[in-house]
Amino acid sequence: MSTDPIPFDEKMKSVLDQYTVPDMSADFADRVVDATENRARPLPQLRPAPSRRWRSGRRVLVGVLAAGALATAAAATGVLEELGIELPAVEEVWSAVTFEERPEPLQPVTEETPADQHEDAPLIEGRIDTPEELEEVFRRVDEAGDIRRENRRDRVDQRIDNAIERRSRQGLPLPSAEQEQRLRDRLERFREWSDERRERRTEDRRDELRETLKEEGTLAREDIIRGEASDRSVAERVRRFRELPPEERRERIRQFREQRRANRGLPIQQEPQVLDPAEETQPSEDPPSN
Amino acid sequence: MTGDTADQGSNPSGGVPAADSVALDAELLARIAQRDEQAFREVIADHSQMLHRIAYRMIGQPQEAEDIVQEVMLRLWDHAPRLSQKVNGAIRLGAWLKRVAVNLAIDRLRVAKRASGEEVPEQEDAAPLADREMEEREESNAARSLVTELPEKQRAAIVLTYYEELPNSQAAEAMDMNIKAFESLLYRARGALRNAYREREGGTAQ
Repeated sequence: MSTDPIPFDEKMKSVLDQYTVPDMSADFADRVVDATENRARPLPQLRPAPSRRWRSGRRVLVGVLAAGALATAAAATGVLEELGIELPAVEEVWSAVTFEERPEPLQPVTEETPADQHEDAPLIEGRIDTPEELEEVFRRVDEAGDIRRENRRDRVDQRIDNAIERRSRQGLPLPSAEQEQRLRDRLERFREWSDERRERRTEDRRDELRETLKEEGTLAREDIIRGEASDRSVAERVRRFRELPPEERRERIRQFREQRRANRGLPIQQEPQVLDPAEETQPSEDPPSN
Repeated sequence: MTGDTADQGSNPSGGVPAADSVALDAELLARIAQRDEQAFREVIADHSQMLHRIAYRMIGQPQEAEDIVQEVMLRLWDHAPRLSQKVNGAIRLGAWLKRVAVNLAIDRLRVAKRASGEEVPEQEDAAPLADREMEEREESNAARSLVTELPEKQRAAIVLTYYEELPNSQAAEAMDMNIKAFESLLYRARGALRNAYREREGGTAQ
């Protein structure tokens, strides 16, 4: 594109030159000087924009800090533990960084079990062939069972506490103190009932074992842990049951209930008959003819 | 065509050599930064007529043009301390003032266009005039309408080069443009102005 000046002819110039400018006000300078008084100071200069390298570096830094904060929060709230991610202890990290030998972790202080306190407990080797050995086995089984049950109860209590705390965090309605106490009382009553039932069964089973030992003079380990094996088999059956499809599970439950009622001598409960929707919509009587 | 010759301080063809002019401007600026009223009045006396001509020919209204010049001077007053430190003794006040005036005029034109949805209305006659005076006023109005019908930047280019007779480099500096872009703008502006003139002449002749 050419930028050579486009010429104006003289006639056009004479027209343009008519665009004259009027005089300024005589007091213009005074007005301007007056306007400078009490004039607000200009705003300070804007802070110069940081360089591109610093901007990108700052973004990386902010990202790292944010990721660190999230990881810390996740670790603090136990999310990583639930996901099966093990976090190294501070000593482990420091040891990896400095190559210093890591101090031996402190061993947890364990309470001495009652079995350790029994200095005169008989040493059981091989088969059980004395009543003392048999009673010692019973005692050890009771101890292990007590610990196992106590742990299980702690876990249940902990789940209740966690559920209440979770509902509190989510703003959901919480059970009142009375409701919570009623729940724990019911749980305790169930535990007592379960303990009594188990103790009765156990005592009957142990009487059988004592009789067997008296009659046969010896017992194998398998004879005693049969009940425990039975427990394991129940757990296995429950696991297999849970893997069944829902329809199959419902059918098994229905069969179990029928069997239980039959064992108690109760009549078998009939399943409610499901009507065919097509039949259900049919009028039972002919409509009245008008 | 220039209305007067008060703009000697920034005129390279004037009696003061360019280097001396820059030194004088820097000294004036430093004094204004120290809130020297006399120095400020010197700058007003030297440059306000030239700024007024530019503003008036771009806006077409005398009061509005005076407001623009006043705003330019007050900006100089406000920014003098920082400007004095920044330029470190090398400034041409005339160029700086022209740039501020052109920018303010273009801003006002754009604001007025947005507010009214059209070009700034031309000034109306206030009273009946004698025939000769009326004829002159009509010619002046014709010239004004030719200029004020141009887009803002083209108008500024014509005002600075035709009426103020600035060389292209200084006009480009006043409009904060590089010389190539300004020459292209000026080419379009002169073409548009000549076409408008021819159209007007054709209409008048019919």
